[in-house]
Amino acid sequence: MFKNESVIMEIIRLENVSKIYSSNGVSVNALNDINLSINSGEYTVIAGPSGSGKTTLLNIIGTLDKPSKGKVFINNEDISNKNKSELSRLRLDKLGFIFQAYNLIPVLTALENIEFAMMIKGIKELERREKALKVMRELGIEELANKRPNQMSGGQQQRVAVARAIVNSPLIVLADEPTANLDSKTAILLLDMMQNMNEKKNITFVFSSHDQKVIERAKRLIILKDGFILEDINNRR
Amino acid sequence: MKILLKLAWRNIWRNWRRSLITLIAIIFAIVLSVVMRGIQLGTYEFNIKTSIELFTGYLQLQLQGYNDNPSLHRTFKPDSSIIKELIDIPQIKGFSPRIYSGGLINSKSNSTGAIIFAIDPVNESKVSSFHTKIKDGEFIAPDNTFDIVVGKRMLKNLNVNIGDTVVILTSGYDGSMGNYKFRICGAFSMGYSDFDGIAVFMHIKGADELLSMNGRISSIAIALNNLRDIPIVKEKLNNKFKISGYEALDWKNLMPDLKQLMELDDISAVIYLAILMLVVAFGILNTLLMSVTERFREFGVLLAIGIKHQQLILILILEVFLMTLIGIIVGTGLSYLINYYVYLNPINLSGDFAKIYEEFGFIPQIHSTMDISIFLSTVYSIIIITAISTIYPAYRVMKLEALKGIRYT
Repeated sequence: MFKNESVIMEIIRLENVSKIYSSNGVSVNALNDINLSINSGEYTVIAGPSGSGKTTLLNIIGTLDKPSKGKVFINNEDISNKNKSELSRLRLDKLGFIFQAYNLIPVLTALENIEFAMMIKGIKELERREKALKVMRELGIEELANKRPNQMSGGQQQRVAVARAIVNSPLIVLADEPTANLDSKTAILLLDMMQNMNEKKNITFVFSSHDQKVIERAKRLIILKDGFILEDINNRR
Repeated sequence: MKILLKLAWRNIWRNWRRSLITLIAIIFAIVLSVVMRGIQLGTYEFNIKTSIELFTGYLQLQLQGYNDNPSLHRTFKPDSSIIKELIDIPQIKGFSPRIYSGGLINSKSNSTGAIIFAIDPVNESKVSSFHTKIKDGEFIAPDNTFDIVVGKRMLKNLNVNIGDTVVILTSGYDGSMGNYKFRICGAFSMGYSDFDGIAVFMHIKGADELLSMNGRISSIAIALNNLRDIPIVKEKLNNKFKISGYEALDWKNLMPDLKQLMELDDISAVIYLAILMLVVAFGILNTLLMSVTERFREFGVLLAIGIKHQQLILILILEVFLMTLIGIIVGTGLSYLINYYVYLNPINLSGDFAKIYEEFGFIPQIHSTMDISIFLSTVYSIIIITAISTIYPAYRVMKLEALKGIRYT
């Protein structure tokens, strides 16, 4: 196998997934009978208007929410019957998260925030320091190492959040509206960075966004409406 | 662990005002608890020791029933086996025979009731420090059988001076009326005005004649090398002499009022301290709940990236541990200094406070103790209340779901 060649394999599969929210006796179908498969190395954007179910879908893929019906497979493993602790381990080992509001730990520096994800995994101090600095160098954010979140701009914080998401080499990185709080220029820089990682390091990204800048870069675009997949367009780039 | 400790430490100072208030509450609780308890137990210890060493003695050997119903008819002639046993017990520093009785003391111009304490001037100084309380004149000399020492208040009440003679009237062992002249050789001041107005100390030989005792005594006062040996020696003596009709009594038996007063005071102090700890517990609980609730979003994110609930609780416990540790170090340090100062420099009370102390038979002085158990019990209490206060916030963290946390506003 050549260096840049990688095996394409299915890492996420959703079978007949539905999600119903109930409140005060009123039921809302957030997702309806979704069947979806995502392969390694994909750069997928789940788009759609507000209330279409894109964040719900991302949360179910990310094991943060459970479907009301249907099954979710991550790396061919059915996660329906996993307990809280097993799901935590699965998220730690196989998933990376990027949130709209960056959500870095405010009392830790950028380097410590990135290290923290590895610390939970039990990686030794020296190794995690090396790995964190390496990722920071790759993302061009090493100068932020000793800064705390309140000393960084939104774009800088989001780049640190990306570093935190990828440092444990996850199967897939899930990004919920990652550019929503950024100005256009910063958003483009961030998207360039993630696209670059996808192309050069074959990291799988799944976005939930209605930002046109994110949608434009999607290799695969899944459009949701009222909890249904309206369109699933592959090989856009 | 290092990064968790770092995280916990920085989280404490994230809202430094709130943490400082909680810390002050912990420190305040420790200082108040240790100082209060130190003063209370230190003053008890002082009063017990003073009473014991001043006159009561560490132990007394009497005929069974004498202490409950003192009478000349419950007196005894100490035989050689008792003396030998007392000499053989290594913890015993000294012992001295005594006769207790009552009578009427008359001067030329006045008369008053008196409690008679007859002592052996030579041996008594090994048992009690009463002789050091002579303020005027001198203590009873071994050869002056008919010399007495009275309290300064009695001296005033009888309108007499040192060197004057008085007559003591009393009922003897055989039922006869004793009536002897005694010379006042000295006057004492014990610190309790009531006692100073009623007590008369006389030579045991003088009392033997006055009361027709024919060698009988009321009690043998025993001094020990160490206060802590009281239970051991008491048990030894009881094992040996109970069968012969004697009993060994300690300060709790000899001064039951003092014991009850201390117990009552102790209960009220414990209740007060428990309330104080409860208030501090609610303070800590409030801080922790606020600290946890305002970080639900952060905890949600951490849960999403794969941290386990147990690890989040560990962070919370580390925060509580660090804060409590600082509180304990500063609190015990401060209370140690205060207790040590009072321990070295007892506070003399005056005015109404002094009167209250005297009414209870205490010397109006505030003492403290450096007993390590006070510090330890306070530290345990603080650890227990902080641990209890952590349970509910930890439960809320345990129940937190990642998504609910992320969406928490």
